[in-house]
This record gives sequence, C-alpha cells and structure tokens, in this order.
Amino acid sequence: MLGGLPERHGGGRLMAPQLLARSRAEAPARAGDAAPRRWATGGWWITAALLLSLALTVRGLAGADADWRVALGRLITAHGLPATEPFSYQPTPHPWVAQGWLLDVLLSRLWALGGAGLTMVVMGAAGTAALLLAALAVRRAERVPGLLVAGATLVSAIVAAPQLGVTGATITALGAAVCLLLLTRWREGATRAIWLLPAVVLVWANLDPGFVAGLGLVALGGLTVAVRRRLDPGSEVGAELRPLSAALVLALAATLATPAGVHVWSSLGENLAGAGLGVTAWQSPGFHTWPMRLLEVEAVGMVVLWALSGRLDPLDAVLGLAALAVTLGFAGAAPILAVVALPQLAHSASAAITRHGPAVQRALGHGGVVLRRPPPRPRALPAVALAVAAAAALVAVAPRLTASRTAADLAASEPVAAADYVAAHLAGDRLYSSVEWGGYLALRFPTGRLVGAYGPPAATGATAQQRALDVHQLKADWQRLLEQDGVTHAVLPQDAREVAALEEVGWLPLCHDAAARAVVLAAGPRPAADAPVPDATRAPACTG
Amino acid sequence: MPVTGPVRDPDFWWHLRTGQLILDGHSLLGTDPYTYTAMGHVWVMHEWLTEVLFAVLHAAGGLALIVIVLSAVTWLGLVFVVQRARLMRPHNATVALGLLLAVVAGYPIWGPRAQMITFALTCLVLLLVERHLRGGGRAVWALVPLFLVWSNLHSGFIIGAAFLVLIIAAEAIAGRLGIPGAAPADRVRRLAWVAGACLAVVVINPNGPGIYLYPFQTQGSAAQQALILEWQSPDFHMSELLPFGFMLLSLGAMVATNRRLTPRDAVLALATTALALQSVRHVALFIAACTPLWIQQVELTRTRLQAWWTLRGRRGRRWTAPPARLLALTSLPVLLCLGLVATTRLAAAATTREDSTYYAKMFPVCAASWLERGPGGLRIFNQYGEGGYLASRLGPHGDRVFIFGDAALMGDALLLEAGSVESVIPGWEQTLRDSGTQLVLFDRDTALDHALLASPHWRLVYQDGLSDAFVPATAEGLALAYQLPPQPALPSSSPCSADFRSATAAAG
Repeated sequence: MLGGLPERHGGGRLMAPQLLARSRAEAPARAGDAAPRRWATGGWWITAALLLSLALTVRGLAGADADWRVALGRLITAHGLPATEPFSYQPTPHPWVAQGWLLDVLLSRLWALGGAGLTMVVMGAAGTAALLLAALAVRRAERVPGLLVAGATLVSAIVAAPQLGVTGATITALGAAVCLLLLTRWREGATRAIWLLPAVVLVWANLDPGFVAGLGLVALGGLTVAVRRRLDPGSEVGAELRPLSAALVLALAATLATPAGVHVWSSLGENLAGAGLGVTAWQSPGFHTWPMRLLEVEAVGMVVLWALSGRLDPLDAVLGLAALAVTLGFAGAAPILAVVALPQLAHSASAAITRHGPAVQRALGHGGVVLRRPPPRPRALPAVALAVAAAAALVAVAPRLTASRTAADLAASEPVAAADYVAAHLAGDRLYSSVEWGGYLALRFPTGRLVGAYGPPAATGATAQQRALDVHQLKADWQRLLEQDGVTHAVLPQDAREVAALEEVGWLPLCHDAAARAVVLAAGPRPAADAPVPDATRAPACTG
Repeated sequence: MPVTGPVRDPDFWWHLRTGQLILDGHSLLGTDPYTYTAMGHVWVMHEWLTEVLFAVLHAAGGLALIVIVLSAVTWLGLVFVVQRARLMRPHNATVALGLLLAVVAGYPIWGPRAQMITFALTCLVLLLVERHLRGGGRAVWALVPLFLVWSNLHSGFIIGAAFLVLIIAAEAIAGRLGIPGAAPADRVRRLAWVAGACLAVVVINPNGPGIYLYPFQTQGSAAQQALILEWQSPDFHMSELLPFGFMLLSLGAMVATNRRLTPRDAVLALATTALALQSVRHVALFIAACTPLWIQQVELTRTRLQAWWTLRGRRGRRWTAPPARLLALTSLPVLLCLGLVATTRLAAAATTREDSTYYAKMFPVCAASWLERGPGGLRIFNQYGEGGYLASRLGPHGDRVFIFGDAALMGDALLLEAGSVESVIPGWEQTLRDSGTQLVLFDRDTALDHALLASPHWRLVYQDGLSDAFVPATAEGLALAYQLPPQPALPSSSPCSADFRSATAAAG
C-alpha cells in the first residue's frame, strides 16, 4: 500500500530549507534523477511515523465501548437483530436502532477469535489506516517532503489517539480519511475516485453513525469548489461537479440501506442528546488536559502555517475551520480535526519553509549562500529511524496484548471481581451501576435485563440515560427512580457519590473489589439517626 | 449596555467587606478573618487597593456608586480598544461592527467586578504600546506609574507585564529577521527600558516581590482550575459563548487569508487564544488584545473584496453616501434612544437594593437575615460561591464560613475538601465532623441538598427560595436547632419563603 506514497510526496527531499527552495525551482529538470532515492527515503520516514502511530492507536479497553458492543454482537449473531434494546431494565424497553450493528458483530467475532488483544490490534490498525489515508490526501502537485508528512502524521496521531481505540470514533476517523482522500483525488481530476463514495458510505452507515461527518465533509468540499468556480471561472478546472453531486445523492441513498432504514437518521438526534446528558465526547473540550492542549497546538499550528505558507487554499480553510468549529463544540470530533489537519499541516509547512527558509537562513548568518548545499545527511538515517520506530512500536504494543496483561487491565478498569460476586450470590437481581460500567455488566449479564444504562444515549435511549443521570446527580426523585426500577443492588465505584448517598439511607456494602475500586451494595432498612455510616472499603473482598 | 448590570460576581461581597476591615483597622489583614478552616493561612492581599476603593465608594454612595464606577471602568476599557483599532485607520462602520462583536462576545464576563480593572488597564497598556511603536514619543513612560498602581489593584498586572515582554520579544526577533511590519529597533529598545522599569516598580506594594508569585500559584493550582467554573474552558454549548467562538474562528480565517499582521499582533493573538481556551474568564483578555486585530482584518477583507469586485467590472449602480446633515439627523434619534436605554439600564443596576428579589435569587440574602437573628459564632458549611456574601453579612455577627472566594488563601487542600463535600464523595460527613461544622447552608436542588434531605443523620431547620439549612441530628445539633430562630412565615411571593420556588414554578 505504501508503494506509490513516497513518489507522491517527493519523499526523499529531506533537506534544509535553502536546498528545498532551490530544488523546487529546479524540480522539472531534476525530478527524474532524484526520484528513486526520494521514493525510498520518504516512504521510510512515513512508515516510521505510522509505526509510532500504531503504538498510540492500539489502546486498552478502559472507557471503550467494547463490552456492550461485543455483547450485542454475540446476541445478533445468535438471534438476529433485536427489536428492542436487550440488556437494561428500563420500564419501557427502548426500540433498538441498528446504528452500528456491523461493528458490533465484527467486534464480537474478533473477540471470539483472539480475545481483547486481537480486537485492540485490529481497531488500532484501523486508526493508523485513517492516518495513512489522510497522509495520502496531501496534494500530489505540492511535492511535499516525506519528512514533513511523517511529522504531520505523528502530530495528528498524538491528537487523535486519546479518542480512538475499540470505539466507533475509530470508524469515524477512518471514514473521514477515506472521504478526504476521495475529495482530494476528485479535485485533482481523478473523477472516477468519487464513485467509490456510495460504497464507502454504505459500509460506514452499517458500522457507525459517524457517516454523517463524511457526507458533510464531501458536501462542504463540493460546495466550496462550486462557489470558487463561480467566483473565479478559471479555477478548479480538474474538479467535475456533476459526478460529485451524483455520488453524494447515491451515498445519501446508501445510508438507507441499513437494517434501521430511515430511522438511522432519526436516531442521530438521540446521539446529539449526549450533549445534554454529560457524555464527555459531546462536550466542549477542556483545554486543561494534555491531549486537548495538543489539539489546540495542532489547530493553531494549522492556522499559523496557512498564513506563513502564503497561499491558503479555500478548500483547506473551509474544511479546517469547519472541523475546528465542530471540535470546539464536541471534543469527540478531535480525530476528524486530526485527519483534516494532517495533509494541511504537511503541505502548508512545506510551502512555508520554501517561502521563508532563505530569509531565516540569511537572518541567522548564512546570508549570501542561500543555495549552499547542507552537510550531507547520513543515507542510512531513514532506515535507522524506521528500525527504531518498529522496535518502539513492538515494545510499546506487544506487552499490552498478552492474555495476562489484558486480563489485569480489564480487572483494573471494569468491576470483574464485583461481577463475579454478583454472579455467585445475587443471580437474577437488578443492578444499579454507573453508565461507564453498564457495558461490562451487560457483557457479563446479557439475559434477564439486569443492568441500567450503558453506552451512548442511542444505545439505551435518552430516557434511560436521563434516569441514570438523575440518580447519579442525586436529583430530587433519585430514590423513587431506584424503587420504580426495582433495584435492590448496586455495583459502583467506591468514590461515587451514589455510594455515599445510598449508605446514608441504609444500603450496606456487601463486598469490595480492590482492583477496580468497586463496591457491591444491597438495600437495607433506614438507619437510626445515631447509627454510624459504614465504610465500603472495609467490606470483605469480592469473590465468586 | 451589556457592560452594565447589577453585581453578579460572588467575590464582590468579600472584597467590599475586606476593604471596610482595612479602613477600620488602618492596616492590611495578615490572616483570614472569615473562615473557621483557614484561620492561620497568611493572606497575600493582591487587591487591597481595589478593596479599599470599594469600601470608600460604598461609604460615599452605596452599592450604586460602585456599580456606576465599575461600569465606567469597563466602558473605558472598550474606549481604549476602539482607540487602538482606530490607529489602523479603518472605516468607522468596521470599528462599530468590531466593537459590537467584542461587547457581545464578552457578555459572560462583563459586570461590576475587580477583574474589569485588569481588563481596562490591559487595554490601556496595549493602546500606549501600539501608539509608541507606531509613532514613538515619551507617552509610553506613563506605563511605569500605571503598573505601580495596577500591582496594588489586582494581580492581573502580570498579564500586562507578560504582554509587554511578548511584544518586545516578537518585535525584536521580527526586526532581526527583517519581517515586514516590524517596529523600528529604537522604539523597541525604548519599550524594553520602560518594561524593565514597570517590572521593577510592581514590587512596590505591601507584598513586595512576593506579588510576582501569586498569579502563578493561581494558574498552577489544579484544584482551582478543576473546581472553579470561570477557570474552566469555554463551553460552546452555551449560547453566550458562541459570539466568542465566531470571533475566534473568523479571526483565524481572515488572518490566514489576508496574511497581514504585525509580529506583536500575532503573538498577542496566539497568547490570548491559548488563555481564553484554557479559562473562560480570559475571554476578556482575548477581547482586549484581539478586537483591534479583528477590526483590521475585516477592513483588509473589505478592501480586498472591493478591489476584486471592481476588477471584475461589476460596478453596477454605485452607492453614494447620504448627505452628512441627513445622516446626522437620522442617527441622532437612534443614538438618543440607545443612550436612554443604556442610562436606564445603568440606573436600574445601580438602584438594585442588596435585599432585593434580584440578589435574593442569586445570593443567600434571606438565609443570612435569618442567621443574623440567631446565636452568633456559628461555623457554617457553605457553597464556595456564596462564602463571600455570607462572610460579608455574617462576619460582624461572629459567624464563620467553611470557604470563600480567595482560592489561593484557602489552599488546594481545603478547596478539594469543599469539593468532595459538595459532590457527596464518600467521607464527606467525616470532613464536616472534623472541621467542627455546626450548620450546613446550601443551595436547594443540589446533590448535597438531596443527600442531606434523605439522610436520617441531618435535620432540616430552615428553607427559603434559594437555600436549605441543616444541623446534625446529634444532641449538639438539636440543641443548636432549638436556639435558632423559627422558619419565618412569609407569603409565597417572597423569595425568603420556603414555598417561593414552587410558587414561581406554578406561576410560570
């Protein structure tokens, strides 16, 4: 797959700014001579960056959607698509919409084949593939050095990685990268490429509701090109709007070819309800964390490089600002921004170096020798970088995939021991839990509707999520909601406010899961005013 | 109009009370007089002069005079912004548009509060620096006395100092690199001397050189950044913050398209963007630094579009401006109307009484009145944002609060303890017991309120439209409940009535 990449990026031109400036001017005459070496070294740098990206995109299952998706996938494989949401005990079961049924099935198959390790690797590879496709979307005519593409890939990997892993966001990033690549190729004149869009959207719509982002990306791109052509008839000569419009219409029609049919669109609104339900991915980003600070750096860097490059492409500006605006509203869109920004960072940086490199060199004391050839770079450097990146990726990823490590990680992030206790002692009882742990409990107790809310709002419905949020926030009717649901037991993080509130009204800790810092509680009689409040962490250890 | 309004800042009240205590005692307060949890903590009074000014104004003209003066200070800041923008000679309509956007974008921040002093002074510093770098002269030395006063008014002087250093560094580097738009080297050198003098004089304050550390302690406090709302990143789901988002994105787009900005504008835009995205309170700094740049970029865009339109030969029917006299005649009524509305708004804000329904809905006015009738010397657990008001009202009564709004004085440990109780994290009751809390006064319909209502270990002793008060269901707590005044019997239309919330909900 990497075969054609370095040539497109002018891969071997890993040189100081002054030489880059000269080689750009002389490019037509020299392109043939230097092509093979460029082809090789540029590809090595990019491959090294992708390997390092893999180390970032292969992520553990903590906080991921894996558990409930695997549970759903098993259910679909065994019994077909359910009519109503199958796991939770809500009073009126929520009609189930097949938003990501194919991903559920794929994940359950992967899990069955190779456990958590294989699932993590495949989804990590999908995340890295998104970055590769975004790197391929660097405009070919720009002849961007491979080292710059590699740098942009790494920056985007660091920004996107926290949102990726065994989650639908990985599919969104991958789909967005495919759409970006198709749009770029279409604009360059490869009209046939855009006919892949309906097929891509067909698969994507069955995998994840994020397909809307891809359609938006292509529509926005087409609109920008159309407006530009209208304002400046001599521009955008390679892009044919009719095929793009037709492909978009077909892609829209393809979104209906899911088991959910037209409901796949109406259920998107339910996803948006996540913003009001405190789902982190649907909130504005908090720039106090390092991943979000890096996102800020990438976004600001993109705008600065636009200005420094001296020739801002309107499509870049529209897509970049749209992705930035969406990410400022929804932190979960960070991978889309990373994918959109990657090619822009690479070719804007290249143009900026070409434009300002000589002046910088002059100012730093190298005036008069602007075209001087820099000291020779060791030819083996890219190969060494690739070897180091491969070793680093191996060292970073391999230990995380062993069965013992994944089991230990799972026990630390999910209430495994607490669920063992419930299975042994409280079989068939309804469990109140946090939304984060609801998915694991659904995997452990898939029959009998024993768990509360889990996953995004579309999984169990906004009503169930709101009820869970009301109990979590101790709203006025929190006790009544638990009573209505017939809940007599709870599996909760030991520092959750519900633990404190439930103990106040007489619930008693049954056991303590030290690995996951979880407690299992059971309803009890209302205590006397002078009765001491129990300490959940002193309860006996949870065992099966 | 938007910069005028009644007091919304919860810290205002303890600033006012502190100023009164300084005037009464003729000296700064070495330690915290308000809490029972941070009594021994040494107080770095970085706003002592502001607090004294509040007290003097309050003595002279009550709350009204403070509201009028602080509104005028904010308004002056905006005047400085306009003056700086006009140095670039934009069209008046562009300036008006930029000012309008700036005022709307800063809406969540405006209001009578000490931070507005830093906003106005930042705008003034940037105006003086811009004038100097464009035209030279000695007026820039006015920055030295300005910084001397500023460091006694508010620790935000560090922002002004940081801007000076950034501007000097950017201009010096740009001059060295020969980047177009860089200021002449001699003016940058003079500015560097002025900045050095400013950095030297700021130590002339009661805290000495220690004042330099204070802002960094605040910025570096993980607890403050996590728990205090205005230190958190902007939430763009709030409609009030959308204008700021628009300003930010449109500025980025225009800068990238026009590719014309001075090095100092570039560093200021980058620095204030980072600050504003980190903490919503810094949106004011973004407005102070970037509004003139936004206006300049709109002007450049307008000029480019005009040139492009002309180039395409689509002149059509040319628009001609109406005669100046006609314009003035039609503008006058509009300006009069706007002036009337602004004056009315200012008058309404200034005449809002402290015991009014407006304040009673925002601060525990009724609960404080109730507690003033009870035994003094109580130790009260309170909401972080209400500590200042309670300290101001109940301090003279001898009561002390758990926490109030000087987060640096409180310390991270106490902030986290208060946060864990507010969030009902396991161990919250132990924290209250260990601190010797006798009464919990907290907003209704919060997690802690509902936990206390549900618990058999606590007893509700008071309720109004805003707050509930609880005592422990122990012998000591019940004895205290016996000494407290009874729940006042008031009509449900009064915000001090327990039924006020349900009556309000039923009414509308």
